[in-house]
Amino acid sequence: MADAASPSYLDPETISRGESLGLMVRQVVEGYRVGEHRSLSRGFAIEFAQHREYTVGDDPRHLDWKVLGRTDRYYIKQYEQDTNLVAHLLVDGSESMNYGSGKMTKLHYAKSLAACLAYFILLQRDAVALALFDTQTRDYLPRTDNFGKIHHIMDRLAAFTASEKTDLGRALSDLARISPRKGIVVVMSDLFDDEEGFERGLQQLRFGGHEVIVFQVLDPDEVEFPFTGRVQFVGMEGAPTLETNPAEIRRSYLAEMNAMRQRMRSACDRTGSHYIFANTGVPLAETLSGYLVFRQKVCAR
Amino acid sequence: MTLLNPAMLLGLLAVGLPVAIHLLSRPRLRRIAWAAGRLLLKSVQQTRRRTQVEDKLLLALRCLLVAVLALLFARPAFLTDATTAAFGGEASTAIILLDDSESMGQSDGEQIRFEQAKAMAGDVLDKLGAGSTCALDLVDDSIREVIPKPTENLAIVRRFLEQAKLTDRGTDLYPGLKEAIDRLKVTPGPHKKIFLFTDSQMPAWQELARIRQLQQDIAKDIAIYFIVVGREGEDNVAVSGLQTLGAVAAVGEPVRCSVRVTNWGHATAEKIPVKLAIDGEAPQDEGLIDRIEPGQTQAISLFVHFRNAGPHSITASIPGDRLPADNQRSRALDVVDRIKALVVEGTTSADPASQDGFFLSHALVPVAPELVDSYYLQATTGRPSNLESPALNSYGLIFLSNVAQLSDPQAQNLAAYVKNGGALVVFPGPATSVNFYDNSPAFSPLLPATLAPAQGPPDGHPFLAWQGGDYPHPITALWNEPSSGTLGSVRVSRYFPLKTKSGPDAHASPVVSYADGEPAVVEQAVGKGRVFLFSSTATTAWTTLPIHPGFVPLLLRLVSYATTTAASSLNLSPGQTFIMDVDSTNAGREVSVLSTGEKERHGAGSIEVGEHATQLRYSDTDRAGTYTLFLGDDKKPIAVFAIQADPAESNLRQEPAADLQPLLAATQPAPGGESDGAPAKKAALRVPGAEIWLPLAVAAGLLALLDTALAHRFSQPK
Repeated sequence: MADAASPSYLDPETISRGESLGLMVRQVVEGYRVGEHRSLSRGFAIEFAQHREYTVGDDPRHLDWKVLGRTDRYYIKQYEQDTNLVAHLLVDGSESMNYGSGKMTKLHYAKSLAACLAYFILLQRDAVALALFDTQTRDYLPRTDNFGKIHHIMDRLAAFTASEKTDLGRALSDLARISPRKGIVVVMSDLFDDEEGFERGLQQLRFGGHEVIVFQVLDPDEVEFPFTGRVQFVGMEGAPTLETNPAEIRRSYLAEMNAMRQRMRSACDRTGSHYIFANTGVPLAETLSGYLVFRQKVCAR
Repeated sequence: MTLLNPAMLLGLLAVGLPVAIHLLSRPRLRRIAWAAGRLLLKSVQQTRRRTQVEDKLLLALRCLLVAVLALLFARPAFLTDATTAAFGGEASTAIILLDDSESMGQSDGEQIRFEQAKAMAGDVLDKLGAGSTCALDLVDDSIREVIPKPTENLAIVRRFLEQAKLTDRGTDLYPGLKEAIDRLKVTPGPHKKIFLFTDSQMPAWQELARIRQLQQDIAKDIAIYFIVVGREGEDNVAVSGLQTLGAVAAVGEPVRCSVRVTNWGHATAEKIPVKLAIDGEAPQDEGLIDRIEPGQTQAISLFVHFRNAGPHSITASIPGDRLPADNQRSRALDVVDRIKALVVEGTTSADPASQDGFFLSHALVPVAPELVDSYYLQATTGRPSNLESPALNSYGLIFLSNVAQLSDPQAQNLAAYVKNGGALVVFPGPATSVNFYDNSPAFSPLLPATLAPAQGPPDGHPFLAWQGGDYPHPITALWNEPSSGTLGSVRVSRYFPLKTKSGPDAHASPVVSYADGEPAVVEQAVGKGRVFLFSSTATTAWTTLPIHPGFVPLLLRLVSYATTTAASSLNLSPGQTFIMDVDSTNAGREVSVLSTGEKERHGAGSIEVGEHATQLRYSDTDRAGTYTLFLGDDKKPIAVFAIQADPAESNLRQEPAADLQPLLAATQPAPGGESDGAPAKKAALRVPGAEIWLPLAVAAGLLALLDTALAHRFSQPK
């Protein structure tokens, strides 16, 4: 149940702009209930897909009797079956997500993003599963397609506080292991983690047939490094404390940051995942609607 | 190279400014919990090394800039040959002033400062341009014109220069410099220069402000070159004082002497043996001063015995060092065989203890009855009529105790006695006639104060007390030391208030006062003698003084003081003339002198007959030590006197060069003249020549530009 004091992660503007766009899977997902999305399970219900030769064990009810009658050959009729979507929302709950220069921390931004996505998904009667992780999965909400559970998702998001280090690769691997059904995996993280582990996790998810969407959530400070004067940076997640003059290292830092973002994007590209950069300085509505528009176009093709 | 304004080198301290600014201007540290720590670490690691190098480079540049600026303001200049700089090879009119004070006798192990100065002055003479003239003066605390007017005959100047002798005089450069300037002003000639060779000892500059003013006033007409010889920081331990303490120097009696030794060096002096000898003979007593800290003085008491009466000297000495003149100090004194004292009682009494002179006569001879006859003080009691005796001069002292008044012959005879060198001590009493004491034409002028009618202590006070400390007079100075007790416990129930006489002829000084500041005992010199006036009695009728523990030492110190004041004329400063009245029968007789360090007498003129007296005069007293004067071939000296140098001359610390700028020209040893620490045998003068401010200014400008450019470049984001 939603706590009255817990923050509301459903941004009205985001909801209103996102509702009309919905969330379209870019590829076939494996649902457990008929929905809007094409399923990999070639069914026998709605839309014919192809014929294939009968093999021992096939249900004789699916034999194409007409073909049998005309050609005396045994063919099985296969249909593309619309199925419902299962979206796994993975929110990075590590300590580094606590950073926020404005009114919103990265964690808050990621939670809002997850909440909005969950709302859209449930609204179109698809299923949502939520996982909050750091070095391991801290909180897991099994998939649900009950829209009434949206408040339950809010509560779980609100109750979570970040304090530990990140192990994104492990979180992705765990998800690939416990979720054999193909679906969409949406990762919301700052990706300040082991890059090889992250890519390995992506590969495992992709190998399992999941569509993976990665939101790299970063604060404007982290992207622009606008500090002046003498600053002592107290490292989170075990990073060292550094005392420096930011102006002296800005150029170098920005180069490192851009390189890191580029590496993450490349890792996503290599694994066929979708990389989206989410700047917490940009309103969530803008970020999400921009992505959904992009996604709709891609799916339309 | 030298610095014309070395004080500006203090600006080097500003080198610390960039460092201080760097530290102080560090912005307040902001703490930020940072998520992208690993990215930051990479950046910091990449830039830290370069940033540190850049920061250190900038800091070094700025420190260097400050140092160059300090050096620039210090006005460095190349040293050039003094004669070239001063005369430029042209004809000059010069006066060489040579400091011949005692401190110039300090040796560097091979040569004393005075000889170094002579060598440098000789260098000046060598390089004078054709047609130059030169005079030569010796300066110390006065000036002696060896060659008063500049002469073209430089060979004579050189000869007198070589013959110049060191003295033990003190130093004050101003009078000599003023005299030389005044003389040079009226001397016709081109390019007037004064070369003053001195060791720059601190007392020499005691009139520094006037010397600066003098130089400014004549800067256009006369150039003055101050050339310093010797080094700062040389050690020296000196005998800075020698005094006899306590009783009279009498035959057979121990004479206690206080020897003061001062350490003028920069290191602690330890285990200093001090010896005390009579008449240049083997030491009679010696002691050891364990330790003297730098700048401190330690005193040690030693004793001597004199075997015969007459003029003698005592000499205190310490082991030799590089300034031998102050390693010993002499004092002359007349040793007496017997001193007779006449105690005149004003009244008579059958009870001996009630007699006016009872306490005095016993206190003057504080020895057991069997030793009275052999004691040097012989006290005799008498009546005022005894003062009519023509043999008063046989008494060293005369005491008047409770004498009402004197007849005119008695008063006149007494006045003559005092003026001829006798000592008179007056204790008034109940019988004293105030009117006579204050108004007697013969007696009253002897007294240092007038007497008011006797009175008791102020209302509410049972008695008056003597002052408890801060005794100003040598007689009572002993009681300034707490270990000697105090005279503050002397109680007086009745006394004659004393009003010290004033006027041009009055020289009264208080010996001791009452606690309220009113004088209790006053003394003054009259003619060659001395008169002491007490305000109360010499008996216990009005005061506890006669039974006070300090009465005997007070009287004995008074006797010593009264009978040895003539010793001041036996102990003179260098340059002072010794004068002694002698019997007129000796007029015209030859006098010879034997001074310290000499083995044979040499002639010292003859006895002169003056307008008022026949006198022995001796004025060749530039060196410290003992001078023994003989008449003709007599083996027994007629007089012994001592010359004591100013203790301040032993302080070899030089006036800091920074304080003397811009007066002081630099002086350097001759190039190559100093090797293995040995000083140059012949020193050469070098004075500042061309300044090198331009290269420094250019360097400072370039450094500033470079700093700005680098700072701009380094401040770009990395």
